[in-house]
Amino acid sequence: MKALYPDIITTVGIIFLIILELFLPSFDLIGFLGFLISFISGVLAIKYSLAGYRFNEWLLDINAFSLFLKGVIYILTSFVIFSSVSFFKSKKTFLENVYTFLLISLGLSIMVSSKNLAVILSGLELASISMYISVGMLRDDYVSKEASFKYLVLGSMATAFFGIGSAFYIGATSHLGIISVSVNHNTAFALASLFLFIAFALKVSAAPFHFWTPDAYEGAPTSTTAFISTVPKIGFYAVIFLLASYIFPITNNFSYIVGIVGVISMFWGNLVAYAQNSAKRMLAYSSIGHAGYFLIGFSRYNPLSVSSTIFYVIVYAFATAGAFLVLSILEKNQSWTHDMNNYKALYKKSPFLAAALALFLFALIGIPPFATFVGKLGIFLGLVNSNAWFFAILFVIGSVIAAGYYLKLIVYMFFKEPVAEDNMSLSLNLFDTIGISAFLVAVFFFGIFPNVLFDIILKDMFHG
Amino acid sequence: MLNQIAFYLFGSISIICGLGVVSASNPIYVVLWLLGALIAISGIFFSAGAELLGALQLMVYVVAIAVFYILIITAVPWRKLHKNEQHNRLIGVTVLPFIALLYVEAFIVGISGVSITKNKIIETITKNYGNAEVIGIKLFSTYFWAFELMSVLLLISMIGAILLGRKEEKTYD
Repeated sequence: MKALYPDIITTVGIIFLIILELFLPSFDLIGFLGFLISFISGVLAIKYSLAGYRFNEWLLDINAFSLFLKGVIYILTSFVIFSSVSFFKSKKTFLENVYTFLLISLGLSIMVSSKNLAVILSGLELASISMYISVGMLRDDYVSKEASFKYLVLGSMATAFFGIGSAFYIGATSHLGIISVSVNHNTAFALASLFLFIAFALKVSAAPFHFWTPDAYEGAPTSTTAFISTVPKIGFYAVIFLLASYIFPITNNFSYIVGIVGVISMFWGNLVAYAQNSAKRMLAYSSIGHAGYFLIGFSRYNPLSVSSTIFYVIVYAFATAGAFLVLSILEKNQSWTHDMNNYKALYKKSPFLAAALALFLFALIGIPPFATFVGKLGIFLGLVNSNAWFFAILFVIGSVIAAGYYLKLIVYMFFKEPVAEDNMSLSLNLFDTIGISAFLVAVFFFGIFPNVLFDIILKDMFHG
Repeated sequence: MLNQIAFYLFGSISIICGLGVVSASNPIYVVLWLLGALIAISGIFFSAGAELLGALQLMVYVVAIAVFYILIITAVPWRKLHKNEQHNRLIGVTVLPFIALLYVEAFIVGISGVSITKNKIIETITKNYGNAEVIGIKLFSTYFWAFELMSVLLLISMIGAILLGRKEEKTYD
């Protein structure tokens, strides 16, 4: 029962915040309480995970690994809430933004703590619907509303795919739980795996299903982009890991479908990112490219590549959230448009922000001192171990291609002359500095001591 | 005998209300016709002996969803939603073949007894779970957590509908 405490605390906290907001509509208070609720839940979840608690009723299957993922989700949520309150205040978004973040993390934490398709669907829907809402939260902003609607329509497609996939799954196996089943050459089962895979490929914005991503990420308030482009990925890839361990290996050659979607997504995201003029949109395409890396990591069920993909997803979440949060701090300046020209000579205006953004971008390239390098190396070695040379080589080529557009932004920030009539001043308050520094420390720390995170993942991941 | 009379009564009411839904042009009238149709359908369920399904139909569709429709209509500028003749005809012509196809497909599947499962699992499930007791026990024991989560989901959907449908200073025409 104790293993449920983090979720119960969050649920009660959300209801409390909804009521409190009626009487005390203040961003500082609601934001601080939201930060506190999710931080406490996260720390509790990590503590219970290390103590090895489990819970196996009501179709939940909470073990040490899912508690660990819950902990990461809640702690990341608390960090993002902490560093986005001042952005929301300056943009005057709706106050509901804080607890939609909490609701998303609640849905995700339900999703990672079950192996039953019905419970996964309920968690997925709670997270997705809250995401559609939080994208459209900018007041008087047409692009934000359009992004929200586009995301709603295409996200509902994913739900429909999930539903039809579950129907075929129960038809083929007569179970609703994801367990090891033995079916031979069953068309219904193959269709079930295909539809479930498409549903999650849509959710993680892999390439043939990525059309909502750039618009939704660009239209959303930038802190919300920092949240929805990172934290939900942890939950989605945890479910894809479940599918990859039980469902994908059964159908012959299904791993090629996963790998090929990954390759298309990687090249499409990384190549189209070069054509973008807006840094925010470029990072959106970068997240499509990363979806490709992660799917390639799951294309073979090899303990090394699968565990390092989960590791990579977590550290990628820290790096991308950090980069988007830097963008959100810049956007507090009213005339900021995220056009590349705005970034010219940023280091003169704000050395801290320019350095932080550059470090996050280096982390996304995957340069050695940063944690993402460990993830990339692990995926590559895992693919080589399972003799998937084709995917391993394409993975390296894709990663090298990606380096260019990150470097382009860094060149703009450090080596370009500023635009002449440019006299905008950048304000940086204490909370922003602390928030960004926390993300930077995480990206560095897990790069220098990857074993801290990796040991927990390896210990719990395969003994669920 | 009484059952049959009730079935034909509610069936004809639901057909009339359904025709009202597609022919009325004012959105408020459409919702009212829809409400009538939904109530009549729950009557059909009751007359067929499926009390739980009828009660769920009443609670979920009639109370919750129809109220949502009305809420949304009050939230958006509904005077613009008046359908015009041309629009209706286009929808009818494009959608009709697909609906016809759906009915033909359902008919064929029903006649031939095609099933994607091996041992007619779905049929046994519907046979076993046919009464309210089993569903209730399932819902409040095995599916307890998912069921409770749905209440949070409905709450946030309502909040979201209000927020996104809220009138703003700027309009985008």
